[in-house]
Amino acid sequence: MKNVAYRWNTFQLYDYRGVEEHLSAMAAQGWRLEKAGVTFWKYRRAEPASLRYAVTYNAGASRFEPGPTEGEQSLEELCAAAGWEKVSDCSKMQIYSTEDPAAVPLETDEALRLENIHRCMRKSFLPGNIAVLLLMLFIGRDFFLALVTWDLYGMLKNNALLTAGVLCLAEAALQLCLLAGYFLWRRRSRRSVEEGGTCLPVGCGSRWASLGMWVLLVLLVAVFLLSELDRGHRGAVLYFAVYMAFFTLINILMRGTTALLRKKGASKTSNIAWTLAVDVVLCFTLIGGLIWSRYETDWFSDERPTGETYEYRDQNWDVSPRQDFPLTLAELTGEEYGHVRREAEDLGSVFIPQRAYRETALLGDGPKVCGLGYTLWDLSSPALQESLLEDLLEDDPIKFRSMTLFTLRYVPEDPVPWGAEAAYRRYYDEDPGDSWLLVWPGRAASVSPDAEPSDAQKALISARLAPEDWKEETT
Amino acid sequence: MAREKFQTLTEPMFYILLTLREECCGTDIMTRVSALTRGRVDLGPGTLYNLLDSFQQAGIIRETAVEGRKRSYLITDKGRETLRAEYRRLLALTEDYKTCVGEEDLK
Repeated sequence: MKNVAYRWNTFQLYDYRGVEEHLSAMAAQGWRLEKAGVTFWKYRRAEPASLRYAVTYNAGASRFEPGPTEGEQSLEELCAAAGWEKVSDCSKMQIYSTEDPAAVPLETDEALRLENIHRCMRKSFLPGNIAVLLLMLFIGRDFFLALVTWDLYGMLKNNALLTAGVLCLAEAALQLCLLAGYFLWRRRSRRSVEEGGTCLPVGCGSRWASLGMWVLLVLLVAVFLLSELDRGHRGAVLYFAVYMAFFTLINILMRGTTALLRKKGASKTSNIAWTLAVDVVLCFTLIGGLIWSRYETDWFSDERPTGETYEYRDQNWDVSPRQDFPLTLAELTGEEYGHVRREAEDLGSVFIPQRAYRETALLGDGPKVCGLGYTLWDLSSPALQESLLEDLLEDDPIKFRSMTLFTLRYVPEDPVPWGAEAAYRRYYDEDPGDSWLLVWPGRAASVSPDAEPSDAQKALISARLAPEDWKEETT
Repeated sequence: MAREKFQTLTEPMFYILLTLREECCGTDIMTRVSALTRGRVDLGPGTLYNLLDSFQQAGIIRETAVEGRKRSYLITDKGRETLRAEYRRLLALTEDYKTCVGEEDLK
């Protein structure tokens, strides 16, 4: 039979009544609180007892202080004289218990209790909540902007962006709810106290909201990882796993540093400075190193060759080029190439699948090469198609140090030779480029051959890249 | 700001200051207030701790001695004035009651 139990702490700092009732109920079931941590509370088995728990607040308490402060000691002394024994503390929340049913309550002035709670909230929790809210708004700014302007493609174009965006949105909403919940509770409690009553119960809303947030986080991350694995993005999954492991490790080491320094009797200032220094160093080395390795190594890369390659003319070529390309360079040009390299990559999201193909071939015996690239988007609804086109057809100024070098833009051209519903050619300012955007119902394709295709080549491109429904309709 | 904060005193505030006309520690304050009011006013330790802290910050009381965890306090001149002002306010309330209702009603 286990003698120790842990419970995830979902109580808000100001929910003193919820904490008191919960701890009394636990004591009645034979579990006494041993330590109230920020994340988990530890309980130890004991004889079931009718214990009274009470919470008071000490605005001067800090987890960086070496042991109990003078204020905490004075408070303990006063409580002991009134028959209350200190059980634990969680930040500024001080938890006491007594077996004496007639002991004077810790707080006998509700107005003062309310004022004191607000002082504690203002000192640590409100700035923390507001900081998290601002951080979420900053991290998810692209997603929020897309949401506000109802840019469907902007919201759904990428799995990672979508997952992070929804999480940021949910977390920002949670922080807003927590802030609103506190101020609403404070306003109602103040009214109650002014009318001679007590501070009001907090209710379970904030606890359920926090729990809901965690459930959403786990579900979204699971969906994201499974979706990435399904598309063969093992590198992205590995990167995410290592990132989360480092993040957890940094958190544990930071808390460990604070606890160790506190145990060693370091001053509050010194504790904060060292904890901050450890945090910065760890973030720089672990997270910075991870980001560096993503760009400088192939540890998290998915673009590993799928088959055997050989080197010729300082380049790698496929021994057996993949055969799953809807259109190959040889088919388009009618030429035979001795040295070919083909790469395909799944991009986009579960809502907007996007697959990019790239083929490179050596012209004759080299050294010149030619290439063909195309990207296909499958769009399940006209709204998504409209949103994608709006995004792709927008003028794209290419800048260097705030100076516009040229503007990339798509200009409509006759779609008939392309066998498409709409066709656009990309221009660099006024100069036409060799890149086209073709649109069919339910699909869009951007095609980049090395030169302007003939009408026969355009028809071939359409025959290979257009959706089956369209081909059946038009034949 | 502090003067504004303690312009009127609650019962616990009033009795704490009344008790601190003589130097005493926190636990003594709790006992004395309970005895003085014959148990009508009970001071919770959390409430007392926070009030002593606020009074000290407002310069209404001062710490006089520290013996281990035990701290003693004494009212300051500013505190005496605050207490007197509260007494005058309570007297004014009483006089107003007498003027409006008369003492007969109390019998």
